[in-house]
Amino acid sequence: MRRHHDMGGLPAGACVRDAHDHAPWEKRVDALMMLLSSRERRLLTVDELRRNIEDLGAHAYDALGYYERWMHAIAQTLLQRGVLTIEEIASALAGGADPRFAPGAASGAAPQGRVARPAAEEAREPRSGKAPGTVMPRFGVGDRVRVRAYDPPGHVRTPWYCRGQGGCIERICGAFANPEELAYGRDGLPARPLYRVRFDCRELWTDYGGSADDVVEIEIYEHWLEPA
Amino acid sequence: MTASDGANGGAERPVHDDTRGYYRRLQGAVEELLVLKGIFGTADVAREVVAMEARSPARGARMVARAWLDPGYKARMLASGPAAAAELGLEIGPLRLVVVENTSDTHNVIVCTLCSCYPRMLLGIPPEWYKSREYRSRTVREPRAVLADFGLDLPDTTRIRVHDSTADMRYMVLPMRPEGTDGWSEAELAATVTRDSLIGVGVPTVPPR
Repeated sequence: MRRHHDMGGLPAGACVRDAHDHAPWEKRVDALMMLLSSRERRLLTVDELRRNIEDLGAHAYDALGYYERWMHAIAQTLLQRGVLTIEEIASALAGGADPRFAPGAASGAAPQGRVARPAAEEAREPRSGKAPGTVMPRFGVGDRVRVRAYDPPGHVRTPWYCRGQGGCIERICGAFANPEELAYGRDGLPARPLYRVRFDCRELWTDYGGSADDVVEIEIYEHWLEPA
Repeated sequence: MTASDGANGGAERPVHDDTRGYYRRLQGAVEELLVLKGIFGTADVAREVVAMEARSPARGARMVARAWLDPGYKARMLASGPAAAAELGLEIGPLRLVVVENTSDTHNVIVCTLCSCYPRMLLGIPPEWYKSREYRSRTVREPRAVLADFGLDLPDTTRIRVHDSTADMRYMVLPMRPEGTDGWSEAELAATVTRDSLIGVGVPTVPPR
């Protein structure tokens, strides 16, 4: 089933250029993401952020602003990882964080005040082109491939509109931890070869109105590809 | 659930009634808790805000102007975006930047149909329209119509390459150098490079001199 966020190719209205500046609190949401995902902390991956945004459901996805969705997803990830508890957040929302929750505070009535695990415990392999356990690429540049017509649940990065479609390998990007695993707090290893696959627009869209030479190029992990 | 069938006597509200204020307060609450737990300091948050504000399309424009003037740099940039950014002293962190070149017969345009992937570590926060349903839905399906929305009409003979930025790479367009700019300085050339032209929904604009 096509998920709500996976909108490539759907009909929509005209694009409107706007000049919206972000509010100070929105910039601080962005800063939270930067800090939590930093190498020193590793308390959030971009995959977890995306997964939690996608899991909002269609109504909230459309109703919320961009950084509202991010803030929702950051809070969800911190709950899922046990960095924060619902009671802690509820208390802070209701009128300031309870100082009993601070690390080092006298123990007593607040067993929920769990301190985040140290960054080292949270460490996972960076999404590096040289991640351990890398599988050698199965396809070479120019090879014809077909995208598997899978329809799994959960967080995946293969757009709906290219599933089942044929294309050719434009380049090999390297090997990267699998986002389908990273999104659920696992390490995503072994790293999967990632390709850029080129599709002819006229093959993707039978009624395509532009030039026969027009193409769409999409990054696709190897486990979504088969020889064509 | 409507307001009338909530179990708590109608206090339930649909999501869209409960937006700006709630998430702004949630940001404050989460930041406060994380500071309290020593995960980072308030000064760290402020520093990240300032750092992100300093990332802007002007940084991409510098790379483009240099590439127009220096064929060796252009070749290095097309081979490795990160190395080319580093060569100009531009800090882009772990960004895996791929630069795609516009030519007289090919035009590139960048989109992310799944979310809003964008070379933010180089160019800063993406514009609102880049994150919109309209842009994300239509660019892979009818790129010429989308470009026309932005005032860019390409001849049918121009090949369009749409890059759907779905995974670990991030893309920037190297637009064509505008005509009438012979002898211009690097700074003058950089001033012609708009954010739109780096995403591919525009081309560099030559201001009146």
